[in-house]
Amino acid sequence: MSQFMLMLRDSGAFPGNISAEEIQAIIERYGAWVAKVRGSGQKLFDGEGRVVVRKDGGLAVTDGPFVEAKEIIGGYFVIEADDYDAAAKLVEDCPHLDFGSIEIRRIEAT
Amino acid sequence: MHDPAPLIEHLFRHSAGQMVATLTRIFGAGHLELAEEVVQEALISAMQQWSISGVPENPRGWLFRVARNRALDQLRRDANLRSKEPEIVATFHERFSEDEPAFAHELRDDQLRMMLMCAHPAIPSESRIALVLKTVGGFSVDEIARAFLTKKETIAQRIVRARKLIRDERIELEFPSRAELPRRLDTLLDVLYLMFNEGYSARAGEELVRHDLCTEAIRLGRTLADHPATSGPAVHALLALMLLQAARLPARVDAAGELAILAEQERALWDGAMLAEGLRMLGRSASGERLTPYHVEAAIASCHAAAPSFEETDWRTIVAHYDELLELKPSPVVALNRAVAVAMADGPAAGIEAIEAIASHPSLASYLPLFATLGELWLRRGDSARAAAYFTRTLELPGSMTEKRFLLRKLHSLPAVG
Repeated sequence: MSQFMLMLRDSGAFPGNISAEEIQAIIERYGAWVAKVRGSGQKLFDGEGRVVVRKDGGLAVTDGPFVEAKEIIGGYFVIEADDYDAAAKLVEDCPHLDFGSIEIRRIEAT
Repeated sequence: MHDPAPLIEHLFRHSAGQMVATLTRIFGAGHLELAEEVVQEALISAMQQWSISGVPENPRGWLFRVARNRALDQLRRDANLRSKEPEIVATFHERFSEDEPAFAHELRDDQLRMMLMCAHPAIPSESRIALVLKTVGGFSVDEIARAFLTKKETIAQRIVRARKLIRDERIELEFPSRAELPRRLDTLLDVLYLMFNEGYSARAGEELVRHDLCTEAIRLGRTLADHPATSGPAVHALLALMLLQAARLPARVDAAGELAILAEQERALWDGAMLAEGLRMLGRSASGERLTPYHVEAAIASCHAAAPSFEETDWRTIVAHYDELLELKPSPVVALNRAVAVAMADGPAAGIEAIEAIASHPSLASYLPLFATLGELWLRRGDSARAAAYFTRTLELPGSMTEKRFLLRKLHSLPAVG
């Protein structure tokens, strides 16, 4: 028996209200600005307006609304099946298929 | 019997904030508690009256009129304040006329001053959020205690201590000086960031998300952005970050109250208007000479918001942003989140390596996302036993029940370890 990972995928387009072009323009504008600020040799400022000085061991630790640890991790369902086809059969009835596709990946043993 | 409670919670919050700010301005910051009491009494009076006779046509006007009258009563009792009576009457008439507050700008200014006062360096950092929520946000001590999973007494103490400091240090409800304002503003942004974070992913308790904290943080952020004295790129960047993250709140918890991670979220439930506003705000923030952590975090959030689907998320760019964030804000929490992005870009082994470099940091010893992440990455690497050990550990750590249930399901889904 192998383990298969099911990854639920979205088929959706970006939720309205803003065009892809505008998003691209914003991203480019932001990137250009960052390059300018960093390139001009300006010192980097931390959140409290102090110039950042790296100090070993002197880390300020606060939590923050980061997506990665809080929203990314764990979205996979693990199932057991004999082979790929069997895994696909098991997920045939999954309601998510109405909205998107399900990717099946075999978990390789190390 | 007419129950006004569900209709007017919003009204009470904001009216309370406005009234406290204005009364404090008149009474003086040393009388903050008096201002709060007067407002509190007006709200209680409203609850009682309106349950019987229904919500009046102009609820705000009603509240302000009652608060004014009670304030005047207080004045007459206190010799020190008696001389202020004409000022109160005039100010209330000005600000809170029965029809519509005529001076919206002055109202906003009072609240702004209050927010900035709460960020005074003399006020201890643990008191700041509580003070802002109570005085500007109109939250009750109970609500604040629930939001931060602390005892009511602890919150009450922090507020009392802060008020005493304000009196003892003779802190006034005035706009900080030009020299002092930037520092004060930075502290305030930090307060809003922490407030938002607590709402976005509660550290414990039944619910994962506390919408009202996020909403309040955004509202106060907008207040800062709308005022020329406090507006600026850092404020825009923080607002962008909050809007982009908050847009997903409707999809974070599914109908059954269970955690839905990004890959599973119904994107149709994301608030498109908020996402659009957040992205445009990011554009606005790209100005000036200061690159702040808020900028970089907002940029990361925009990568997620702009990805047409989970699989099309641009992980390499996200890793690059995290590299930059680590320079600005070296912290194991940032390093952990970067490691997740590394795992998504380069595979679980790379992610595990990145985490191992920081996993022993003492501040992460009870940090649930660290162990959940390690569990997940070892699972993807194919080592169920190790994964199970990490997931089990998460159940013992501080976290919301929603997260715990999610992790428990994960644990049960692992094949039995021999």
